[in-house]
Amino acid sequence: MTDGPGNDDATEASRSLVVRRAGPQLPASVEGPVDVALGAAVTVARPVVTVAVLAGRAVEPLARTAWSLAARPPLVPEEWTPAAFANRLADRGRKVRFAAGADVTELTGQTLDLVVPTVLDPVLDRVDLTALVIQRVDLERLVGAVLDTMDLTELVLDRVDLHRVVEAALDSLDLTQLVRDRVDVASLAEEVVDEIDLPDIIRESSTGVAGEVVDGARLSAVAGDELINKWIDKFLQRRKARKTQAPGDVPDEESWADQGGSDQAGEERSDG
Amino acid sequence: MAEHPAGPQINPIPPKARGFQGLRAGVVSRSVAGGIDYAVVATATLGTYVGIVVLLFLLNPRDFTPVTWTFGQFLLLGFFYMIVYLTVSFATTGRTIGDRLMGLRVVGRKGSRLRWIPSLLRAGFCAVFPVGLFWCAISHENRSVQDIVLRTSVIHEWPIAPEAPKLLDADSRRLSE
Repeated sequence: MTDGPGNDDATEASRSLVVRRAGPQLPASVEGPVDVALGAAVTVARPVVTVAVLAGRAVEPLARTAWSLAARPPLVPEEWTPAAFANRLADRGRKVRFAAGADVTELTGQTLDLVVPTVLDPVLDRVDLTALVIQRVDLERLVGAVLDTMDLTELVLDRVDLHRVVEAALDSLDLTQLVRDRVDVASLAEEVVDEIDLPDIIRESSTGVAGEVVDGARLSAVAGDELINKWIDKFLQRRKARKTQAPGDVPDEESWADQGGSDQAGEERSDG
Repeated sequence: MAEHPAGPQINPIPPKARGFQGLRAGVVSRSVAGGIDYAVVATATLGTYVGIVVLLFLLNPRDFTPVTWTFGQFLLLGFFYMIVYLTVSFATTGRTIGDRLMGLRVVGRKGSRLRWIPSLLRAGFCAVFPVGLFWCAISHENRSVQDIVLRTSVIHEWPIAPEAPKLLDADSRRLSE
């Protein structure tokens, strides 16, 4: 989620852009002496502190024994010992502290109420919060977590005027052009033609009454053929069906989709 | 198979008739077609006679005496016409007028159109022995005597009117635009 400390310079440089400095730095003429003074103080203080620590460790057992002796001297009643006296003082101080605790909390709250608005605005003015969030926050995870907690569909149905949205979308679209661009109108039309049996409609409109009479006569003759064949097969006690499939091929449904009428097909089949 | 330039075609044969296209025809269809062909030949023969009579009248109206033909002469002319008519029909379109009306077609042993010599032989056979047709009622393969001897077949193949493809072409083009 975040870059760890000590990453490369590029990361540091980009991060430094997020926080803008409030005012000018110390002038160079002041910075030098201050640094020298700090260096000297650190140089002197370090051995002093070391010596003090060592001395403290050496004196600590003796001081502890002396304090025990002083706190509870022998032959002195317990309630008159310095330790008992110190305990009584501590109890009293604790009561005062607890009593003042609520006041301190309230005072702290009031102080924060006063300080935070005063401080926050200048702080935010100096911080590019958007860049900071982009750098430091895993937005994908955050959005995922937010979306997991809410039913977006329900929210949209509740809060969005879908009718208006759809109408606005339709107003901004040229639906006819969109259909022409995106829909295979020819295939769709073919499917519709298949559904409504257009060939039959065309056939009925293109063949007149005479054509219907001829078709009827042909179909009647075929029915007569089948009837005669049935009678004769029954008379001859034939069990197998007649083999009426002639050699050669006649245009079927698929070939009709590719090319024209049977007369043309008959010429193509010709070997003469 | 190359696609038709005008786009996809629609089968103009009625759905009821598609099932038996390419199958050998039975005796009823063929007899009706044969009857129509006999009527055609008889009309042609009588027409020839009438034409000759009219011509003679026009040439010599005063001494005009109508010629009388014997039945044998009619039969002979009809026989000749029948052979010519059947030969030309078989060898060109594979259909006589009767076949066209009944949606039939004469094909060779490989389903192909007959050549001239086989057409002539079949025409002669049909003219000399017309009752051979009725064998197709008994034949297990719907074949007449002529079909068995000459290895031909008469199949259902409904002809398509020339107007229909044009109409369908126009319709296909309109749909594809």
